[in-house]
Amino acid sequence: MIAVLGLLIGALVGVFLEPTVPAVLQPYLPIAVVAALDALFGGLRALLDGTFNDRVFLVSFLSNVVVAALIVYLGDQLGVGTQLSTAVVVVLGIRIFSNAAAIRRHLFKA
Amino acid sequence: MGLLHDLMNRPMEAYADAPRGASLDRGRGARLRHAVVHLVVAVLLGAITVTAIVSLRTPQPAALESRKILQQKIAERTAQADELQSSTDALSAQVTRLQAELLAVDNPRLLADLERVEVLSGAIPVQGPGIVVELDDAPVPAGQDQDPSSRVQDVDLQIVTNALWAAGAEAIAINNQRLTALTTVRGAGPAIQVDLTPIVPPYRVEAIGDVRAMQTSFARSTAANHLTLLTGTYGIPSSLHAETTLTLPGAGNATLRYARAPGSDVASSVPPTQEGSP
Repeated sequence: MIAVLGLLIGALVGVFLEPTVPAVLQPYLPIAVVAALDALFGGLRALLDGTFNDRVFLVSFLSNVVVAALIVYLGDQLGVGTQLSTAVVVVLGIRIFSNAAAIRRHLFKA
Repeated sequence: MGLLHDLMNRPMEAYADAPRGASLDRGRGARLRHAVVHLVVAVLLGAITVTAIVSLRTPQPAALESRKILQQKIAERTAQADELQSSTDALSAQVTRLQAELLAVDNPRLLADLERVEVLSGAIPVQGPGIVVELDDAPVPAGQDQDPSSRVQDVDLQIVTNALWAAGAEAIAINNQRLTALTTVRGAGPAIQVDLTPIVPPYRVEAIGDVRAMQTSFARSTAANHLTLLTGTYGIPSSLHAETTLTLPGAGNATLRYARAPGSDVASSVPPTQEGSP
């Protein structure tokens, strides 16, 4: 639960301090946010499954964001940035949907 | 299908595997250290994510702000130009008055000549009966962008003013911009400029002259057909009516240019130092 608490604190800090993102990182923000969403849904599902673990949650969150941004960066360097972004969004989108379906089954038994 | 199966079911593998790795016996110190690390990492991740979301949403307000600054600058400069124009008008009125005073004593015939020429050239304001042609952009249906072809174009105004000159107009002004022999009416992007002064719809073309003759002649001209075509095809409304008194502003004093034969210095009786003054 420390992880969730920390995320909330961090979110508040981000909202109130409004740090500026360097222009170099700007292109990777959308993908990073989608990756973060995927980790959040995964965490929520694990919570409902009773297998939630702070360490796994944080590691998956961090690696999701970093790996997604890295893939897009690599794609940009190879000239296939948009295609790779699409690929990442598709994969993460499917995962988000399957996790959302699992959460729905837990909550509504349907 | 293997790929899809992996995608659908593997996300939770890490969580499923985790308890085995995490349930190792740890001392209290180690646990506390782990908790602190977790907290720090979580705070960082939360801040990063929210910052990313916030900065993804900000570009629009920033763009709006710079647009507002530009708008403000345009308004400022326009006001400045208007101010300068009005001071020009006042000064040229003063010049005209002083000139008239001087000439009335010195050379009354020249003064009469000058006044006649000034009326013809559009240098001074004039008043009299005339007709008014009004044009406006086609109304825009709510929630849609204006179709560029349904706006009044520079060529429409050119056709109208040319027809009015041909119909015997003695003086013409578009939206209070007096036309002279040197005036241009042209499009600059979506705006229409009369002598570099942008004008906005509705366009009001005022012409002073013999009202009845002008109305008859204008109705027979191609311009009347053109206006009907504009209304029919593009929905641009136009109207024509007579007025008993129209007041048209002067275009100000024009810069005088003198012709001279090539290779000779004998150009005109006017010394070049007077160039620029009427």
